[in-house]
Amino acid sequence: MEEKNKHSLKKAIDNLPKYSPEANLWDKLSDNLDQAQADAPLHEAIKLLPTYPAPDAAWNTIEQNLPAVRRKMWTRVLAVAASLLLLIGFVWNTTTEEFGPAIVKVKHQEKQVQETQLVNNVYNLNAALADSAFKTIVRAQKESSDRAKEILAELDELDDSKKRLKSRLSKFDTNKNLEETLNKIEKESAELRAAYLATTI
Amino acid sequence: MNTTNSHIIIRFIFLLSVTMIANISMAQSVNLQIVTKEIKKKMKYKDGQVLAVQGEKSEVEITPWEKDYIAITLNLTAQHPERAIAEEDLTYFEYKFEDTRDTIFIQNEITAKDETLRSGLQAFYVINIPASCKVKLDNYFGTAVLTDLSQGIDINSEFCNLELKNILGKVDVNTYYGDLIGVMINGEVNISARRSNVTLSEIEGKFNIEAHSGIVKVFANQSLLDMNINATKSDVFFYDSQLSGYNFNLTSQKGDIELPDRLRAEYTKENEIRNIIVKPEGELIGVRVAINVISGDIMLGTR
Repeated sequence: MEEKNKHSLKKAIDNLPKYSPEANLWDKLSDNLDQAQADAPLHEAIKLLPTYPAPDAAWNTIEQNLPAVRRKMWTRVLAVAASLLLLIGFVWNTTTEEFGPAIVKVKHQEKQVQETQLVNNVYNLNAALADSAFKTIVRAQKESSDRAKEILAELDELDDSKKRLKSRLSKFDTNKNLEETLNKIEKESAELRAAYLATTI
Repeated sequence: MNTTNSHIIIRFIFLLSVTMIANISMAQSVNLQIVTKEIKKKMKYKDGQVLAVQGEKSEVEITPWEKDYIAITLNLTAQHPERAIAEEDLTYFEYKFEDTRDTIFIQNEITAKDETLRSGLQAFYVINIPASCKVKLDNYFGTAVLTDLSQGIDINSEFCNLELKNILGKVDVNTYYGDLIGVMINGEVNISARRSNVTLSEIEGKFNIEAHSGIVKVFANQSLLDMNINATKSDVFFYDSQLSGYNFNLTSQKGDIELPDRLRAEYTKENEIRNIIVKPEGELIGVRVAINVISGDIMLGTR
């Protein structure tokens, strides 16, 4: 390829700065090469030497002879880290335990109760008979007045309430409040039945 | 009859009496095996959350405390003469705790579908809540005692007697076959009571009461701001030591109205409807109390 700016290039190269090496540089390089060549047999011989592990006691002795300050610093760091871990663990444990799953215990006890303390109206035969007799009378009626219909609707409501209440009572229940409510419903039912019968006369 | 025979007869009668007494005493008591499941639970509470309790066959007690979380102790019991049956029936008594963004939900229910239960089942709640917590209670076949609550309450209950003590704020109570006793209630109060008695004392604020087939008794003082009672098949009693400070409008259909003679009353009667208006003494406007009863009596009295 032909250089089109040959003169300019030559001129620039001629203007570059010029440096000379140190006077003894080449001697130094020669000496170092000679030394490396001379040490080569020594390095080869070292590789052939046998190796022995140091006894454990030696390391312990070395560790004990280390400066005391350095050892104390490590133990302090370890102590702080352990304390932090304990603290985090404690907080985590107490938090999760406090609001964790419910604690459930099952206990058993025997108790002697008087029969009067039990709900004794769950299977009230008299009330059942009265209900039955009343329904027979109602079925026999061919026509009912508005008042009679109103009473029957109310009786239906009470019947439903009575059934719901009885479905949640056992003869071994001691809930006297509910027994009172049940008696109240029975009483109101009896009054309504009487009122209904009055409309039929 | 010789002496020996008479001794034998006396001994026979004595033994018979002892046996009968023993039989009677045995018949009068029952050994119940009571199995109890005790559940303790603490739940985190965030401001604005509502405690919603849904109980069945439950005796519920709710009171505030100074702590910022909710603590629940729930005892579920089953009692029956046979322990194995009580233990089995206790498994039909289920409970649940849930925590959502707006609500802390506590529920127990009886899952047995039998017509009648073998064991007597009963739940007992003791609940402590932060003072800022609102309460919603749905309780069936039980009782509830709510004390010192300052954020109002919302109650729906059936077959459940209610006791409210020292309640502030908006109070909504809907009860069926459950008597309500309210003491020191102050706020905007709406009560709907069917087949239930309502007894209120030391009350303040505005009251609106709808009653059906029950007795309403109000022991008021001048702290009451406004009261409106609409009742059917119910008697209403209103007591205060100073009735002259009220502005009464009393209406009774198919019933009587009784009030002390000294009150300035204007009577009117049209068909079966009696109306009495009582104005307060002097220039006072008086506390407005309107009582409207169908098939029931109204009685005003002093304490």
